Amino acid sequence: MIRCLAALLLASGTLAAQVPEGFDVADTPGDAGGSVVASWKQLPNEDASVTYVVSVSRSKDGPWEEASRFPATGGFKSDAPKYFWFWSSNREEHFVEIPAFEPGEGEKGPIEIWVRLEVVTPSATAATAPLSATPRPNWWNWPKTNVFVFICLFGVATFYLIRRARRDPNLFIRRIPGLDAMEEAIGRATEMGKPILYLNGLDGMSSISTIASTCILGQVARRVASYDTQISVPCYDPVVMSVCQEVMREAFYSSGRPDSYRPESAFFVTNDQFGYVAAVDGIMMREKPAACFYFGFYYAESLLLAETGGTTGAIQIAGTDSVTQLPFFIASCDYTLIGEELYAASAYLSREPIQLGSLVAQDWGKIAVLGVLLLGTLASLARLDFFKHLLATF
Amino acid sequence: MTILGAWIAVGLTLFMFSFLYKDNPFYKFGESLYVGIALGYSLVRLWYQTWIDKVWEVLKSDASGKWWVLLPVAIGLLLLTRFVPKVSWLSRWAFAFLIGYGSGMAIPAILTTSIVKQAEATAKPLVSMPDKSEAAKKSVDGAKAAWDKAKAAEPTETDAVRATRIRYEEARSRTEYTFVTAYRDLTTLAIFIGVFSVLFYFFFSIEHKGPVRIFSRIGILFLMIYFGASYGNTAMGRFSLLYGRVLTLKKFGGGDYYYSTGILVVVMIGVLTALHFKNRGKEERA
Amino acid sequence: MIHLKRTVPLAIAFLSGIILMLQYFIPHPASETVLQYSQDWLTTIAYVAMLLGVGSLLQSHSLKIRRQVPGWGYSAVALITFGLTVLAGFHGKEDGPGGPLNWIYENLLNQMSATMFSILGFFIASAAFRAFRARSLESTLLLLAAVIIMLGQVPVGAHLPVIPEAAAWILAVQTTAAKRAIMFGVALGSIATALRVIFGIERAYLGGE
Repeated sequence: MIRCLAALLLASGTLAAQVPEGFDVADTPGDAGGSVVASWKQLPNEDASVTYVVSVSRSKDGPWEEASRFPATGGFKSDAPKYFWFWSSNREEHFVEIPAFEPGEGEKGPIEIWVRLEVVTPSATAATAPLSATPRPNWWNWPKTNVFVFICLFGVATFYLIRRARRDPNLFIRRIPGLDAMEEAIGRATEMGKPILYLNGLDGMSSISTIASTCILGQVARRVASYDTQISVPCYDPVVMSVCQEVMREAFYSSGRPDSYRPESAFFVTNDQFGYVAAVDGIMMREKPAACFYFGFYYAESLLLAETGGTTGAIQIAGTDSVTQLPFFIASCDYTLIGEELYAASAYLSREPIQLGSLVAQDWGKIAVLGVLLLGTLASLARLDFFKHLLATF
Repeated sequence: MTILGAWIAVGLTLFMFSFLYKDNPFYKFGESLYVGIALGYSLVRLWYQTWIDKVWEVLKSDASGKWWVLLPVAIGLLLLTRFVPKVSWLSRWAFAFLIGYGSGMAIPAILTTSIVKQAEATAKPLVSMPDKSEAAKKSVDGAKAAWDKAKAAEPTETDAVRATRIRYEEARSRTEYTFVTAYRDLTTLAIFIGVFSVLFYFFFSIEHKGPVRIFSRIGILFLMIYFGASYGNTAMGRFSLLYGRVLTLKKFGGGDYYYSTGILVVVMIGVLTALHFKNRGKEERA
Repeated sequence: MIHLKRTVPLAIAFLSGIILMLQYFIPHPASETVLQYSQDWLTTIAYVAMLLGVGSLLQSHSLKIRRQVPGWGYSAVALITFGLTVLAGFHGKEDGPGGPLNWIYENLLNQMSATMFSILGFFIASAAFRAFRARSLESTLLLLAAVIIMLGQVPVGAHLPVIPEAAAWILAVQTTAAKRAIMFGVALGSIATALRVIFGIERAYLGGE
């Protein structure tokens, strides 16, 4: 009779005296020290009738406080890839994240956490021996390693191609009509005796697009210096103004025209978006520049600037990585550098091997992206999740 | 708003609108006012929110490590060496910090949001495989039950009934190959082709010949459609800004505000007309 | 001297760039502290940099006034309003609702800002009128896409056949595809530029000797 009952219980999978294997408590990986993780292997034949109860205490002997209770159908490591990534074994292990204790009066953190696991079935309960761990801050977030690897790969490719470009500077770069037109625009301004207006966008010097814009300004200033044309650079940010002054000074000096350099060509206007636009529009209408260059990051004011420039008859060339403003520049300007072409401009104009090598690295990056997209699409079609996991971000 | 405030607001609004006519003394006055006030306002706000809150109060407090706040002040003072030509090269240290900071912050953030996340969203199966799992079947049954219930309650297809029908069709498209599945796959394929072809357009070191040229041309067409769509999408929002200003002028043009809009419009037109004839006379004499 | 003018700034750019880049991958509270401190530092530096801007403004406008160039009166307006605004802000403790600085903000700054923004309504129409011409396949597609999307947003468009579906398709497919591809390219360009700056390959911002 008892043997039959035991057999029945075994068959139904509700033999509850079992304690799961592999019960472990450890510091949560890749976090700032705010929690610990209790994990254990799933029981054979576990189902919704089995409930896991996790209790915590500051000491091995209690008192115990319930931290979590859930049925055996949930709470798998595969539900938390930000801690455990996508290993296949994660689908066979349960886990619970337990927040760290706040230090009490006279206590100093971090405080050791004791954890006990109980397996509750309709017929009985079993508990593991308590284990402890101390939450500690970690120095590396492992799930973000894919991003770090991509950065390193791209960096290595960039440096390799820069070295290669130094050895063989005759790299092919396709024509970019907007940049070819800059030479023509500067020439036109010289003939007409009118100034060139150069804008760096409305971001500060920490913005990559502003850095790219100041690099282009250096190339434009070199040509302006050799043609002895006037250039006006109204700035939205005082630091950008200072950098533009340095860049232009260097351009004029290296072109052998130090006497033509005027520091007041780059000046600060105001750091209010529409105040800047109002002032620059006024400058455009009064000075009637022959050419207007808009490089950098722009917001809603892009159309205000470009349309006003258009009414003055200036040739307008824009280049921005602001995806939302590109349509307005496309509609109002004679030439527009779309997105990445802004970053290619400095290399295109200078033809320096370093810059050209970096440009080729960008192309290699695009080939890599295309490859990942193609392989990822084919893999997902075959229900292989490797690429999906490779591209996971947390 | 007070009556004085309303008159000033209307006046400045009309001054800035006069820019649409041409450059004129009203616009120039408004522009200069704007530049001066904007800079003064920024300076005051930054003084209280940055200098007082983040430097002065911290230095006055007993917080540990409070002297660290002097480091950014020192970096900022390096920028001010621009006023002294002999030592203005010190400002390069400040530029370097700001540029290095921006570059370092940008790299992982841009890679994560603009490349990895976008690639993950693009690398989807081009042909959907039906999901035959129990969970999917339950989802379809649940959605069908909800649709039947909604249909029974309403004789015609209202928005609510339509919503339940769409949910049912969506759920069904995941378990069988339906028109909705085909539409979804077509969308995925079109996005895939679009991304591929536009990326081909952006190749700089590869000559656009042969297949590269064909793909790049398709990319340009995708770009043009995007630019047109983006333009159209934003247009309505911009018009609503204009309505807002017109309504403000209408509000302050009423009797409560002593017809400020009307009076100021008349005065401005008068002055601009007078200036126009005066300048025309000058040009004729010249 | 060359080390102070070139090498030290390059080292500063390298260190600040690498530290901020690695900060993204380090969850330790020390890393969070570095991020918090650096963001606070940036606002403090921005304030001191503002003085640079004020100096530049005062210099350029006072030069115009001194030389009595045509339109010097407007420079005087800019300087006077700047001074009055600063005085209004510093007249006592931090300005609140009803204070003079707040009054300037509500009645002057806000109004002019909103007006300049609203001028976009005119310009968006004028730009569309000039640019949207069916001269080539590209410009025709530009025009058609804009028209379909605009029709899709107005009540009458909902009653036209195909328009709402076409607008939804364009926004879901074409827009997504092109935007994503542009983002890929921009990201690669930005990262390449940022790496060049951090490793001292890009030095234009330092100027010359």
